[in-house]
Amino acid sequence: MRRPVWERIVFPGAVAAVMLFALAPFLWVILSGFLPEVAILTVPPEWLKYGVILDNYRYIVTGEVPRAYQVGGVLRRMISEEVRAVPRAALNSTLVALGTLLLNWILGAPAAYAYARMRFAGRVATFYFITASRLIPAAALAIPYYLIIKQLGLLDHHLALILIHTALTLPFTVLILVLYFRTIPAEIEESAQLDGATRPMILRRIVLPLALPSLVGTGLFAFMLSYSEFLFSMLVLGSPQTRTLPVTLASVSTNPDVTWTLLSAGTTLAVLPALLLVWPIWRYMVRGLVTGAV
Amino acid sequence: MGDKSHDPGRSREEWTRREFLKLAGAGAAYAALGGAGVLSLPRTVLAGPKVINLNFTVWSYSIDTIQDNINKFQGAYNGAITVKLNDVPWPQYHETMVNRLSSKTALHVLYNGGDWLPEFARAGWVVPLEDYLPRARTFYAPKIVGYALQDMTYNGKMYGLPYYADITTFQYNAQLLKDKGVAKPPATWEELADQAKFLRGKGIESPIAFEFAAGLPTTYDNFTAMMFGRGGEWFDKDLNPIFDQPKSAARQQLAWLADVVKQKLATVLPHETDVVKAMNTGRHVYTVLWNYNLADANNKAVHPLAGQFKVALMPGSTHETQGQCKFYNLTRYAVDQGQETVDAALKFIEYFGGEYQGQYSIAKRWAVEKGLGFGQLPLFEDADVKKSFGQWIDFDMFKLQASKARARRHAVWEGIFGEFARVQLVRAISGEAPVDEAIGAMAQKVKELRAQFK
Amino acid sequence: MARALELRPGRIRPAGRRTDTAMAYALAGGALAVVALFTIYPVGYALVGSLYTLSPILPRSFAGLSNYGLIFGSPYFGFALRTTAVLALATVPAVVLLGLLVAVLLSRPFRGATLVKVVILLPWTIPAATGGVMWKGVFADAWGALNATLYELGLVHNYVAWLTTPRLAILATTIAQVWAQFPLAAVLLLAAMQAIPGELYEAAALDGAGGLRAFAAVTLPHIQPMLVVVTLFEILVALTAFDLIFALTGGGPGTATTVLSYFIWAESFKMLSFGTGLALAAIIAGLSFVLIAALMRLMPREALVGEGR
Repeated sequence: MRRPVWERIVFPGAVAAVMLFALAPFLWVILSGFLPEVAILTVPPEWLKYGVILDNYRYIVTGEVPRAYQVGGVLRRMISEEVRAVPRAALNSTLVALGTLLLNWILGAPAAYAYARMRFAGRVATFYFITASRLIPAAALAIPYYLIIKQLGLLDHHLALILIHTALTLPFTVLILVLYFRTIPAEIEESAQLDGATRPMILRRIVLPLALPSLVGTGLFAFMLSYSEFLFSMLVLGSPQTRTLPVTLASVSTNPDVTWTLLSAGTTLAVLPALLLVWPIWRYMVRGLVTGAV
Repeated sequence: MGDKSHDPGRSREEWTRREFLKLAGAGAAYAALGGAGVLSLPRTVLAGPKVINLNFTVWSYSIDTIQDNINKFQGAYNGAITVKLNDVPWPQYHETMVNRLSSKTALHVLYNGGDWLPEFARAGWVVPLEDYLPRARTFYAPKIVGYALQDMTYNGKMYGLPYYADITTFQYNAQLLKDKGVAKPPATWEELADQAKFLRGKGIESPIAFEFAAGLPTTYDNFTAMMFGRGGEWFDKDLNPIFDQPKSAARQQLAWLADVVKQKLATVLPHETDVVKAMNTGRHVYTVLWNYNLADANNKAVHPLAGQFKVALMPGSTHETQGQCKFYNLTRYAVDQGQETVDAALKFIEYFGGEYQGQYSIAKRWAVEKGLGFGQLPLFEDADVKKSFGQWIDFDMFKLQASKARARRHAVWEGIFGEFARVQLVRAISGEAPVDEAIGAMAQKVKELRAQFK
Repeated sequence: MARALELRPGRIRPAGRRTDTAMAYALAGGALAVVALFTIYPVGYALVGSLYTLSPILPRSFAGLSNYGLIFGSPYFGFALRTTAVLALATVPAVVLLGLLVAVLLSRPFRGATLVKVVILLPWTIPAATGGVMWKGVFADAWGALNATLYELGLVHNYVAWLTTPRLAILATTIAQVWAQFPLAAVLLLAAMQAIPGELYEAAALDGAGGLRAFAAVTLPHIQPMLVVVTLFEILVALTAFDLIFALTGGGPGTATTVLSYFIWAESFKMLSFGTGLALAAIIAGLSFVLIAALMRLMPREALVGEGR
């Protein structure tokens, strides 16, 4: 039996198109990282004429200036040194983002449960307060945020960034979790309550396991926002030791002596940690969605 | 998924819960690592009672080299002074420093530039170097090139020693020009437009590439340098605007720019790195950039057309250009920490921007290894510098253009004006607003600012 | 262990409404505290500050509403607002529609689905400014991958000036912005779709509704709250984002891609006029609030803050 046109052509075609759109800049950047700059700038393009090189990666990892820079008695080392900070910055960003993810769960899940299931004074008002807090443009908060962090003695500490990123992501986490918690049948909880279970027990033992997909989803969201946040990372962190990825990449990309190919190699490395983490979390989330009780 | 809801439920929930705990455990482990990272911040040196710690803030350029220089400095003083390096991306440097300095953050020495000096000085964040190091004026000033000294001076006081000093130059692809049958580079802007039209006829569609963007401080620099080539100026000695006079160089140059962009003889790109790349594709012949970009364009290690680019005098009637200086500046915060801190900071500034054991070793290192310009006159005669620069620029031409360079006149409100002006400039250049309207708006802004800052 | 509490019949507790308030604040307190710390003081600071001439190089003085007047009278405000509106109108519907399409595609199992999902999520892992730089590598007039590809395929004979022609620059910016934002929309909408009980589709099938009709009758109503959330979020992003745009075009050519949020930054810090910058921020916040209040009306109130059960 022939499958319908939808199955044979439209569906795979649409999936392929979306994948190409998502991937195209990455493919270009990954390819560029292995090419000499000359290959990119030649018109018409001759991307593969000069072969594939590992010099850019070697420089980032070992600091060994690519051979091309040493030819002809060139004294100068005109190469972006900031790109070498990328691995360290990726680690910093990962730590901050994981801290943010965790804090989102610890603070967000109980709060969302309270808003989803409990009746209390100030419920509507505080809920709107939380969700509306994200309406303020970040640039307006730069000075007061900086003052708060300075007051807390957290300048140049990752904890400062974790706190700020948590404040920025919590509203969304709470909102999503509330929506999700409310789709869980209340009967299970009611019977548990009849059995004498307290609210925290119900949350921990019944709601959280059932809401796993949504927890992972919101955690992932918080992680990613934190991983790529730029403005406050730049303001509250000052030193190359604590610097996070978006700031380092911004520096590299505006360095006067960076090449497109070196920047591409740095960007490729920068994507790796997020990629390694996104893979298992996403896989897990999909499984959770399919097996989760709804 | 629907049919699974008949399962007893228990095992499934147990499973998901366990999975969740596993995940949370992994998260906790990572967070613990994060905590460890925070705890292991560089410890202050507790060894001797005399160790002074300095915070040094720079924009992110060649951090490894800076750190290496710092290590040498610390070694030279046997660890009695330690320096912690902080860096900020260049495009956000000004505003980030405004935020840090206005919040009284601990920092002792910073990179500063002539355009920000008046406001930083007026806000009381930075102090004149010569008040604390008299030989800055007596010993160093006579050995610093005019535009660099001018850029480090506010209210008659000298505020620092040069990190680097550079000029804006007119750069062109000499090879391409020759191949297409043009004998020599243009001497005036009008001649440049004619050459560009000729080259278009020879298959180069957009012979000129300029660097202008609404959010880019260099926009103001580039335009100023071009206008200086016509012998123009923004303000007179008393900081009254002269750029709005009917036949002013600024008005002529802006009209010229709008015209070549309208005719598509010129392409406007948002950043110098874009221009250097585009020039190296052979699609453009002329540009105006900070001179250090020529070192990059002629860098044989990476660029296909390296070696083809040369400098000619800035087109116009006087061939003047803009010079600038970035310098090491002492902060009010450092002064408030007491004499020992000031002494340490002065040693640091002198080691980096001045002479140490008879050598301008750090400034020279920037020039030789990175192609950065310099403000220290002895380096113009230095054999190593000449040799290194010779690989990418005609050194005599460089000296000639440098001799025709001057710094802008800086008003305390210049930073604010520059921010306003560059949006007006790009609007006029791109044809969004008539030249007269842009000039008028800028003149109006000067009026307001002068009233505000009486 | 967890099951111990499940089946212990006979004991009925009265619903402790009074203790609920204390318990609720114990549960929600942490989140409220963090959000409050980073909201109340900063917002107070911003609102008060917007009424002053606040500059590190000028004496502080009360300015009333003149900062707001300065903004509305500023030549920048008009065109930045227009650009922001154009980009928001282009990106938000595109992001939501593409997100919805991708969620629909991924909602049915197929071989390789996991790989597709991970790939589609990739743009989201990239800092906005870096995304802008990556797209610059694609669109760059003189050496970008797009021009090179089109040229090699013989589709163009001259390189297209993607980033230096105003209309094309806006198009390029929109594409890059949609690229950065659609993965989140897709993930959230997919999660909402997979939470729909399968029985509903079976029932719809029995009634003869398949494909599009089932989508309209079952899927859409169930994902409506999430659609609203996604739309709200994307509007906020569109009104406040500039990292990606700025890295891609520098706001140009001319001011064709200069957005409103850049001016808060420029006013406050580059022009040392904190008061005016804060007034502009208040205006943008007000604008977002109006838009979002309007959208909230579309969402069933019950979904958000209905009675607790």
